[in-house]
Amino acid sequence: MGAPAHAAPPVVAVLVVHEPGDWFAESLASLAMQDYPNLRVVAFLSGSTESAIGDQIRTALPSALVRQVEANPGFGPVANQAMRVVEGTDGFFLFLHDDVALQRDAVTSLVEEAFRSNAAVVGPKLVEWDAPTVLQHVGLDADRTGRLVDVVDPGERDQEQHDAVRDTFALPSACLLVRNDIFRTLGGFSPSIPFFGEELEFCWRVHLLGARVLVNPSAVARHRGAFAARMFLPSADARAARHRVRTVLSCVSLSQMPVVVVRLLLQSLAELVIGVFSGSARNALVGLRAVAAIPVDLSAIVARRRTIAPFRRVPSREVTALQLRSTAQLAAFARHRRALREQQTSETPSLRPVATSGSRTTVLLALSLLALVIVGSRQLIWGEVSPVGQFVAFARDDVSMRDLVRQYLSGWSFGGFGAPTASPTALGALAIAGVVAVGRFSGLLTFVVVGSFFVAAVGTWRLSGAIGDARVRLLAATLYAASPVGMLAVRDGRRDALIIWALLPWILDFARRIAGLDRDPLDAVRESSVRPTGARRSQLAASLLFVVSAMFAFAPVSAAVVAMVAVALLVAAFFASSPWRANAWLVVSLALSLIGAFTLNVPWAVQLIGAEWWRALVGAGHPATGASLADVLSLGVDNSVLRWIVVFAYVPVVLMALVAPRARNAWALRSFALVALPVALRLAHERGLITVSFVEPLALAAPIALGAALAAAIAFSGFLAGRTRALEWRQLFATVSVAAALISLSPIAVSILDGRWSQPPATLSQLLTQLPDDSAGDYSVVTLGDPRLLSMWSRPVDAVPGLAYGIASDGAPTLVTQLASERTLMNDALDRALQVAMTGESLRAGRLLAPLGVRFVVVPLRDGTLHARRAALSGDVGVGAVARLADQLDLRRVYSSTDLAIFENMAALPTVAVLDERSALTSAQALEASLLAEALTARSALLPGFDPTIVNRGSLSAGTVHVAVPFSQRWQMTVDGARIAPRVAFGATTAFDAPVAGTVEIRLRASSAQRLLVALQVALWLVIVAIAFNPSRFRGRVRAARQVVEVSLRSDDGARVVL
Amino acid sequence: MARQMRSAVTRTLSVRQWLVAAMVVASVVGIVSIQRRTVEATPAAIDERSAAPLLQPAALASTWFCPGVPGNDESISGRFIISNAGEKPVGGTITRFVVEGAATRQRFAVQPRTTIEVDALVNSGSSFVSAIIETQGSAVSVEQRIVHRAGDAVALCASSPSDEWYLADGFTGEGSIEQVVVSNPALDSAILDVTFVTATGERSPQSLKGVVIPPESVRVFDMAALDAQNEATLAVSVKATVGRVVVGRSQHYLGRGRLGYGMSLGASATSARWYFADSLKSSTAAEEYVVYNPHRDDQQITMIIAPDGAEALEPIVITAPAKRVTKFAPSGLTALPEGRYSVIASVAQPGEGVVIERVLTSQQGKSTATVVVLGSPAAALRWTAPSGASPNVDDSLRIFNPGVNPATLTVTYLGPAGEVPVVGYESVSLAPGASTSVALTDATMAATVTVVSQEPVVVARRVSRGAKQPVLGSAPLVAAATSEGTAQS
Repeated sequence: MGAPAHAAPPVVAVLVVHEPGDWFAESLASLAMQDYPNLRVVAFLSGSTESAIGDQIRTALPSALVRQVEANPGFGPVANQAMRVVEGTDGFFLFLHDDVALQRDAVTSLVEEAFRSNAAVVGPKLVEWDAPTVLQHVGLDADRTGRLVDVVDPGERDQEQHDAVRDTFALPSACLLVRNDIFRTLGGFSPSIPFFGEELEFCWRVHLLGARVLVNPSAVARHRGAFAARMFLPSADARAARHRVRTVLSCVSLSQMPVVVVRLLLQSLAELVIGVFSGSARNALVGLRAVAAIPVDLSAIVARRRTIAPFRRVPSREVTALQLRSTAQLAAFARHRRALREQQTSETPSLRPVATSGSRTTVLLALSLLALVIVGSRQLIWGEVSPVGQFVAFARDDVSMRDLVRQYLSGWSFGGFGAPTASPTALGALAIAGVVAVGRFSGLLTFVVVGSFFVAAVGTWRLSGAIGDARVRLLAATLYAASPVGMLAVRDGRRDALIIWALLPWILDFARRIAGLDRDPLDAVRESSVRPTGARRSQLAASLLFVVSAMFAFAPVSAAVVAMVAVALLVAAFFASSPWRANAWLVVSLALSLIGAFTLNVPWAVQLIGAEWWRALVGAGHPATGASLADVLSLGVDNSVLRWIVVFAYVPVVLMALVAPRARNAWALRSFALVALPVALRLAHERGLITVSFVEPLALAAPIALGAALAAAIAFSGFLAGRTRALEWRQLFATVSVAAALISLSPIAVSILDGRWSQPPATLSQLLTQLPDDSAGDYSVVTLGDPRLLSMWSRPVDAVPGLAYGIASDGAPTLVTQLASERTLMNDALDRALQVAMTGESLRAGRLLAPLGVRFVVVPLRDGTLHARRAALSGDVGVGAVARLADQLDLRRVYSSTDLAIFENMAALPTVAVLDERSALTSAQALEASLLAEALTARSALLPGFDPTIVNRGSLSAGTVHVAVPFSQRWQMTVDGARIAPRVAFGATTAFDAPVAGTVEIRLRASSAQRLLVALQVALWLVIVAIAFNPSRFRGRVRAARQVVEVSLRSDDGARVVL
Repeated sequence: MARQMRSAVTRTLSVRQWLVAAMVVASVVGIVSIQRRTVEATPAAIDERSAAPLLQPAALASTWFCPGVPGNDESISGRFIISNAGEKPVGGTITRFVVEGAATRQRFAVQPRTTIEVDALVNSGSSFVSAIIETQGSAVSVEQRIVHRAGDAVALCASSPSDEWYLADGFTGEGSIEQVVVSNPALDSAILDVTFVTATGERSPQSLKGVVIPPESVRVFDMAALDAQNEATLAVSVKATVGRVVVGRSQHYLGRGRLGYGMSLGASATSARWYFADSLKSSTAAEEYVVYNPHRDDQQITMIIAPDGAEALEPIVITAPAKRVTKFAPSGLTALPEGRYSVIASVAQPGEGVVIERVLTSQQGKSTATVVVLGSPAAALRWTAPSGASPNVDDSLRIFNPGVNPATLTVTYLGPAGEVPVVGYESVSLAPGASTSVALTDATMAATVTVVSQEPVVVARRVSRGAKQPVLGSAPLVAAATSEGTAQS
């Protein structure tokens, strides 16, 4: 094709056509009618477009060059073909969608403005195809995260209010006039963005080049839009979000990048929170997922930045100055509000609402819930969580992440007196969490505590998706999050209960998804089930297993609660009108998840096998207090008025079980079972029918609260469904139920006032800071008393009903002391010593404690919380214990108050000590009489700061080295390299008889089998995580991110447009 | 409207829904029925402290705290009597505490079925010497005897220290000497508040508040020197705000109706019930019961008096005003015949208690002697007198069955072959509310005597006050704990 000579610069209209409709003729006609004298047309047809369309183009525009491409590579890559078929760098390209109809002088206006303003890119005013008086786009603003926002409001009438030429950050690709040379310099549109986001990426690069992007409203084009109606692209929103994030990170300067990444993250999280409650969670999630995919896209981003680098000709701040300072959403919101105000004062036609009133209410309520949690937790967020109850430090301040990893792999369990067995899985998880929290364990604790409310709410939201729409889900989430369980768990420091409360809805949700129990049409006769298959089922099963296993690792008692929930669901299955397979899957998935959780926690979980398995789960348990039914139903609320208000929550539980119709009745029965079984069990314990160690009531309250929330959701769902019909008796019950459930929310109003959920400022743990450091040698602390006041895993003292003890090393307890520890001979010795002390059999029990390294005996008497306010039926065992310990001749009371008594064992040996001759002789025996006869004496504390997981070095004069740890052949001591064999000391501990002086090294040899098991465990966890998170998605995404769309022209005859 | 609703309900409910309704109702009824089940608090997991020493026969070790022996008068000596009724030798340690100076330790061994006596003083030079006697392997019983020119005194040793001690009877009339001996056996200092009650009321001198007793030492309070001179009524209360102590009372009566010497262990708690097996109404003896109520509220005390061979008298209720000493002399009761009788004193208000001691001043010929004995706070199945009882008197032992069931009991003494039943007391039946006197012979001289019963009984004994003292003394025995760890009330 030759190049005609014109005074006007050449403009090549690049038309990308894909299966157009009838309107296409109008588009072509508008091009044909252009008054611009030097306009040529190049049309690219997608592979699926009929060849007749080409003929249609040639008919309307006889000089047009028509080319067909293979398949449908996308607008940008196809438009880039203009650089192949057009020779020369003069003039302009006019890129057009096939659904754009230009006004007759549009090209002329655009070219004039390009020259007038020296712009690189100029766009027209786009108006609605069918309503040319309604504005569609007059340029696009962008915020720092690349979110585009229209300058005009949806449905805004054109009243020439936007008719000034102005700079804009981006223009829609529907109609773009671009200088030929600049387009070629920049390499055209991004070859990696076939659809969605090509205009942002291109315009940003234009700005980096220092060129201008303008909108010229005097040029007008009608645009149909409606991409989704013409072509289906799976996960279109996700593509757009990822393209946006990649564009931002490719185009910003390096110095801006950290701030931008943080902003991307925060903005996505905020959108997610709002989206979760506004019914657009899926849309909101794509933003967060796009940010999360940054590591996946990193290589593509780096490559793109290299490509762009030569074009960075202006400072980044100049580009940034063109962007919105706030977010695109806020700008759109403000613009919309302004438009609404103007609408009220003018006669302009109605504007389309941004959101329906229902969704807006939902968002506002969701935000209110969010605000309530933050307000209620404000003192915890700005301050820190009080170390009350089980809220002890995850690890000591001086422990690094590396130490945690080493301890996890060491084959030494730190619980109790320690044991040469596997470390708890929680220790390994803590090491990972510590890395994420940058070693700030107090911050991690706050995150866990406050985050539990959100986790619980979101979990309930997901679970109640089986019951109703967003309004129903929001009510369920609100009721559960505002139930007293979470608040009381935080107030009293019941970590186990908090974990169970937060994760139980998730567990039930995964189980019901595996069972295929999704939301039924309201009028379905019976519940139906569509079970997932293949990868989706595996993913759900792995997710369930992951949650249950993680919960089990930190709170083993959760296994008992999950088992109880499974039993409750099984009972409900006999009465529910549901497919039996679905019910079976529901129960079996929970049961299998328990088995899987145990497997995933091997080797640590192996110690849970045996006669003491139940005790390992629940510890010494919760004592019976003679609580009444009202006490149980009020879930631990002690206020005399509020406790009765909480009882209102059970109105929907009973009513819905009786009257919920058809499909809804199945979940009503499940809710009833979730409430009735734990209540019955708790009452049976309180009334002496169950005498084994019992789960703490607050942990048992989690399923009760969940059942109540679900029942209220069912009632609300029925209420909404019946609004359009005449009033009937079910509607009446539903109304009463919802009202009762809402009344039961009242206690939260009281609890949020102090901003820390009534956590006491002073706690027992703080009093323990008086225990000295270990400069005189390590020691163990035995805490003795009411099990409710012990902040560690506890065993009962057999001699005294209701009395329990726990063991900590070197002062205050940590996470590992809260998990079951293996019973060793040292535990037997301690049991015996405590029995002797408590029965008064001897007043020298301190000497029996001496070889165990027990230097302090702590008796908590009262906590600042109300957790143990109710007296146990077994009496005030703490006071009795103090009386007995005070009789002991070797125990010196070093601290005494109404809250706590601390006794120091004056006869204690340090954990590692060199015994004198007589004590060494005694150590060879296992006779209580020998120990009672005379106090043991140590020549010195050999190794202050003894750590079984490292090589401990010290200087030794010859003698017997006693180590207050359980005996194992794996203990190894060398003196100047000569190995000394260990022997059992005092029938329980470890000793080395060193005949010579020298440099001593004590270490525990790791077991190969242990290492193998730990490696296997890590591998199993990785597999489960991999299945749960489905990494194959990421592989595809990495490929997609790096993919450059290749475009090949079909039957290219070599004809070119020469400028 | 209601009828319409009922019919709508009937129409709508299917069989399955009726089942569901039945299940829901049954569940609710079940829960309510569990709730209605009554539940009782279990007994206190750890016992209240006993007001008197307890022997734990099954213990692997025993520790006894002897209240003290005067040590700075060469005419006075003291012995610790250690009785091993078991079948294996027992080793142990005696740790002696003095007023000033370090504690000293002495090892000892007691062969099976043997009673040994150990010198309490060992030239200590301290005004008082107290001791801990610890054994390992099996339990032994221990008491102390003071040989005094004014009459020998046998005192029990405490089985545990305590943070409260009470002495109901005291006397400083006409220069009589009352010394309260406080021992701190622990490795840490004890801090005491001492108060005393005279006829004019309770007194708490500032000098007796916050008194520090160094670890492993003895402190002696001379009551006459503490502004309690010439008092015929003098009860003492010792409370340790920090630590645990052992309190004894050394009493040398010099006139105003009382003569002689006595040393006794205090009561380590108040008790709601006190038993006295050996009481006497006689023209040659003056007897009274001294009741000390250290609590804030007045107490009503019911005294049941059971004379030998006769029906018990109508219960007598006396009031023990708060923080006061009340004295009661049954001999003034005309309904009470002369002779021996037993007494049960019960406090009406549960949870509160008093301390009651019996004061008996007897005259035999020209000799007059006053003996003060603390009652027994509980009946027990087994009683032991480590140093035995005075033989060749009709009432070497007095045994009282305060229960409602007949008791069959055996009296034994410790011989070389073990416990030997006393002839005639192999199996004695004792009716409810009845008392009996046991006459021991020379065969039991200085041997440990034990009373074993199938029902809880209370036992008292007569002890020699020395070769030249015709008036016998009285002393309590050591009760043995039951398998549950307590003596029985």
